[in-house]
Amino acid sequence: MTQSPRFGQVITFYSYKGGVGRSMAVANVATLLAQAQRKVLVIDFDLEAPGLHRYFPPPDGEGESAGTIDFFTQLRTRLQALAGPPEWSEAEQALAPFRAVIEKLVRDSGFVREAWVKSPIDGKDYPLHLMPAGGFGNDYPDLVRRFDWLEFYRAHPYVFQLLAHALSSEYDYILIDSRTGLTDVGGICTVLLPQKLVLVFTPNRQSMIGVVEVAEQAIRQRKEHPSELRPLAVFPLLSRVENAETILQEEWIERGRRAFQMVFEKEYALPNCNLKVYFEAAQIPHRSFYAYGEVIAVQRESHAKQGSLAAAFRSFAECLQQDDVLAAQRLLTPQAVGSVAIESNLRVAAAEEQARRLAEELQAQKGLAIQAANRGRRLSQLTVGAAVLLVVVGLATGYWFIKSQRPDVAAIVQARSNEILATGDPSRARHLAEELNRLVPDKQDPRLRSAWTHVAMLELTTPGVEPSTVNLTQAVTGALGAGPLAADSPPMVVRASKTLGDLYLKGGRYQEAVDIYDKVVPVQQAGKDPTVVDTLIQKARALEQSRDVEGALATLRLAEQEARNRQDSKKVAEILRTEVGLWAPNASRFLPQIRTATQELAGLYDQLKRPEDRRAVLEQRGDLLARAGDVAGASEAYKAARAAGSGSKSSEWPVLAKVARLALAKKQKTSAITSYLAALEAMLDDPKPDLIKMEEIVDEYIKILDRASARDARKALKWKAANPARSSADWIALKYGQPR
Amino acid sequence: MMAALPENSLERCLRLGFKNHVFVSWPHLIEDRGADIVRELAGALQNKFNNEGGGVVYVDDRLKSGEKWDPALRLNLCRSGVMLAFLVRSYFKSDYCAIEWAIADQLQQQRLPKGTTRGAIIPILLSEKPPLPAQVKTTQCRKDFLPLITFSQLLKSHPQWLVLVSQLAEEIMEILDLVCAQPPDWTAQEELARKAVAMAWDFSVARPSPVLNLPNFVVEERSSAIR
Repeated sequence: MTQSPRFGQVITFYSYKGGVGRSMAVANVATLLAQAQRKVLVIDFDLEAPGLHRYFPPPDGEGESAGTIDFFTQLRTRLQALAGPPEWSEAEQALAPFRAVIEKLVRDSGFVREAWVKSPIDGKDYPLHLMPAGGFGNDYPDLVRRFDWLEFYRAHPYVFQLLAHALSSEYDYILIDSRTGLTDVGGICTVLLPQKLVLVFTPNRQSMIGVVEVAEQAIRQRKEHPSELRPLAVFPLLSRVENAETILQEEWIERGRRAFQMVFEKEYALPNCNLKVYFEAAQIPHRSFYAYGEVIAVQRESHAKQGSLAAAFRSFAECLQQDDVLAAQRLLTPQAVGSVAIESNLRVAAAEEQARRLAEELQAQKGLAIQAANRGRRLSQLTVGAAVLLVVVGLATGYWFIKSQRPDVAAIVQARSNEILATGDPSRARHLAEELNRLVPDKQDPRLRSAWTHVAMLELTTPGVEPSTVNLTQAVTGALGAGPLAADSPPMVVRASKTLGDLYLKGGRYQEAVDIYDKVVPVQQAGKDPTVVDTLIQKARALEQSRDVEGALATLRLAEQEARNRQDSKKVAEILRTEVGLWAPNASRFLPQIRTATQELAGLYDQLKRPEDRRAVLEQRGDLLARAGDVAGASEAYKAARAAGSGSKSSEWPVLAKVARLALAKKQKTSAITSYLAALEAMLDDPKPDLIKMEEIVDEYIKILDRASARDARKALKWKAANPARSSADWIALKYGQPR
Repeated sequence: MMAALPENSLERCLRLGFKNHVFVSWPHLIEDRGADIVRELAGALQNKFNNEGGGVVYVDDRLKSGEKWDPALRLNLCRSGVMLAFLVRSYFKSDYCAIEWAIADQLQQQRLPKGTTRGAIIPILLSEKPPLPAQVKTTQCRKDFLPLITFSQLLKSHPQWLVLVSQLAEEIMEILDLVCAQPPDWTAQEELARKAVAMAWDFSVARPSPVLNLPNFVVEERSSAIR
């Protein structure tokens, strides 16, 4: 599948029985998401009993022109015109024409209409997209009856997966109102289309058993699907909960929780699954007011009012935006309920109380004014006018007072910002910052940017939290206000960007890593940030991994310059060492550079008191010079390496072996034999020998001995082979092979 | 002096000339999430090995399909101890994957001791019931990541994630122990890798495709928790 430009989610709301408040849940969650400025599409898939469009009536009482059934009828016609692949195929080329048809039809506005939903917080209207069940003309029942879903699926088995992808690239959220019961359409909506499945049920046996079984079988069938790798995250939603009967309420919540826990333990392999917190929060209370007509609670009342239907839907919508039910549960932990919501509730209650008192007072004043007017006919017209004016002014003041006391967006934004800066939990902070994103339209708003900067800081510094590319990208983008990284960007954001590059490098996404480092380096240079050296080294690594050796070397030269300017010997050494590694495959071409760099490196390691590194670099110098044909230089280097050895035998014998080989290359047999023997002697005292390399050296040694000595040596080796225990005695026996 | 060697299988592999401990084989015509799963699991294994003293997980990361199959990849696979194969339907439609499987299969026959029941190819099933060819049917596949994949977009959010990664890492290290029992004949094995041709998958034994049906449910009152 190709990468979607928008990573939307298809979420199906399903209930086994009707009348459980499923469509109401869809309408409320969709409205909340639209109020948060997400691009939302609502699809009515309850074709036999359509009704979702009633929640979003078209303007001026117009009828619906087309919808879901028309979309699929049209899709079937267009797909039939193409020669289909005989079975599901992931081959891009085979699917390309089908994908093109589906994407084009999804973008066709003829099946989707816009609806506007109001926010009770700011009073503004927000757009939402609706695909009603159909146009509801005379032919609607026929269209629905004639559509054979099974035949359609068998003819085009890829269609629902492609459709889910196409929808996800057009919308942030696609909410499907599924048909109830056990039907073909139910299977499509619950298993084939979504990545999240909301199972709405009421506290009674028939409703609950139905959704629990559907949960279990839907997850299992998703696992069996041969080519669908998206998750099917199930979110149970207990609906129409009557708060008056608290004992029964608790009992049924407990039953639902236990049943779903059993399913999750089995199908999701979640041992000891406990969804107590989730089930206590994910429930919609019964409010008789909303049983009449199609009223969307979150349009009418503020979700800040505790115990309200709007608050319940808001809490559930937040759960639904999490990846899975456990993440939702983490969000709902007591500290996550948030002081802000409580504070807002208190303020609303106080404002309502004051408004009530003021209204009473005004009413009293109005009564007094009228009494005065009646009693005093002699009072002039002016007096009555003044009384009326007093009432008007009083009402206006009351209105202003009530409005000013409502939990306005600015106050919520401020409270959220404070809470973000106060929390030490990165996921909580991210969640709040996402909410802030929805509340603050201006992405350059300093509160928003500092909130995301704090999120970035928590991602980077919280112990036990491994930063991820997704989270860091989100934090960096937010902190930069969707702008570019610049010299005045906060240091934490620069650091987060650099870490992002490191993560890309680690994950093998080299080009993306290079792109990020390219943005970070100028900012670090401008800010005289010493970590620019590390960034340049990392960039060189990324270039090297993408096989751009020239680019890597050029970057290392820049890094070297920066490190030298800062007189950072450790970094200079690290860079030179990397450069030598890059020159190594072409040692002849880079001989002068190798000579200079290894010489300097040996000096640096001496200064840094790192004799092991000094020895290793001298040995490497010897290797590279030998490879480039500079035998004398190599020999000298090996000698220096031996002299630099820290006395460890394990570091000495490989160098001696190299000296021996070099002597052999120069046809100095006696010198070679002496060196080989010295190497073998050193091996005997090595506590951690490399047996394979030792065998190699022994073989080389035997080859250059005279015949008699070689025979003795072979005898020793034979004895060794017969004695698998590798003791030092067998190796000592090799001494019999000393030259005569 | 010459007592039991303290090195572990990861170190031993490198000493014997292996470049990578694990080679990750996966089809590139996999959906986006499939690629994410592959990278997430490979990254987690890499971290696990880093804690064990260092191991190399090589992810065959051809950028796009149609790119020339790099001969260096064959050598990389040859110098790898274990191959992790992510099996989805498109795996068996990819020429690259067929070559990788063929190389890994021939190498494991040379490297593993006779009579062992272990294989140096660990197939990971990303679907419970994919149509499998005969060559794979005889191999033991891992299905245990499936519940995690279905549970959440984020694999690592699952409580079992670290446990499963540890189990997989341990299994790999056990297989590496077997692979490293004998020093490989690199000349012969590299030649084998260079010349290997794509595996001809045998689907004749695969169960016939069932008639395609829409997902359906059966509701019975089984759940004692509800009663």
